[in-house]
Amino acid sequence: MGAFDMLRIANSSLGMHQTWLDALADNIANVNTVRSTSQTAYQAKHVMAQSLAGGGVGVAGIALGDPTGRVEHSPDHPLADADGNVRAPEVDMSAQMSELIMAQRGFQASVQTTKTAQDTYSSALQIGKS
Amino acid sequence: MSFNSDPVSSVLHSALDGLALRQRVTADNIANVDTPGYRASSVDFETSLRSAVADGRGGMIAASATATDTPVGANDNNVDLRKETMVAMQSLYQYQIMTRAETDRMDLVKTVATGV
Repeated sequence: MGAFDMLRIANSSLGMHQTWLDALADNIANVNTVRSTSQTAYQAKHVMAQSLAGGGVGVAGIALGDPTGRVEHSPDHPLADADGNVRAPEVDMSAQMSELIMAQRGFQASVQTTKTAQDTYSSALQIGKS
Repeated sequence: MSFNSDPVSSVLHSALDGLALRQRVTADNIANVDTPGYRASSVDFETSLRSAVADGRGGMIAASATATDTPVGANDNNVDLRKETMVAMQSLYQYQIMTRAETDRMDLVKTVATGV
């Protein structure tokens, strides 16, 4: 355990939540990304968190959602196939928005942990001072 | 042996020098967070300071910055802003701890000199 572990652990959490927020932003940005049926759909990114041995959290990996997506009938779309179908991504918007709030709250909590660590170190420096 | 050239003072001064350099390098890294092709540098003075103390060579060492080879992102730039901010914060407290140690040491010398 290092002397500044509280700071390091809070920082690892900021990193994981940042990756999560980035993935959610990408998912929400691509919620309407339609492709032709000959291509795979946009695959939603799911960040997998993992606790670290020495304390803290990291990103174990990013799992991708269903490449099949949803086939929609849209004959006027420029990408429509002979049957008039296009492929839309399988992104659950309400789940993404819920996760966005969770990720944001987690990030904010880690910022608070960082501030608390700063106050703790400042207090420790005052030990023995009159 | 004067009171400011003994091994303890040397170690404190080397640590303060190393930390000051680290803060300057961190500031440089943060300033270049969007500079295309920039490579972040880092300072490790602890390893050489530890071996200097262990070898009985006293605590005088010269710290230097080395370029990092972590993966680059967009812009061919490898500055990790979150890491640099943490390093800046940690260096600040380490510097305060070292100045505190120096102050406490000076107080001892003052006590000896004044006899109070």
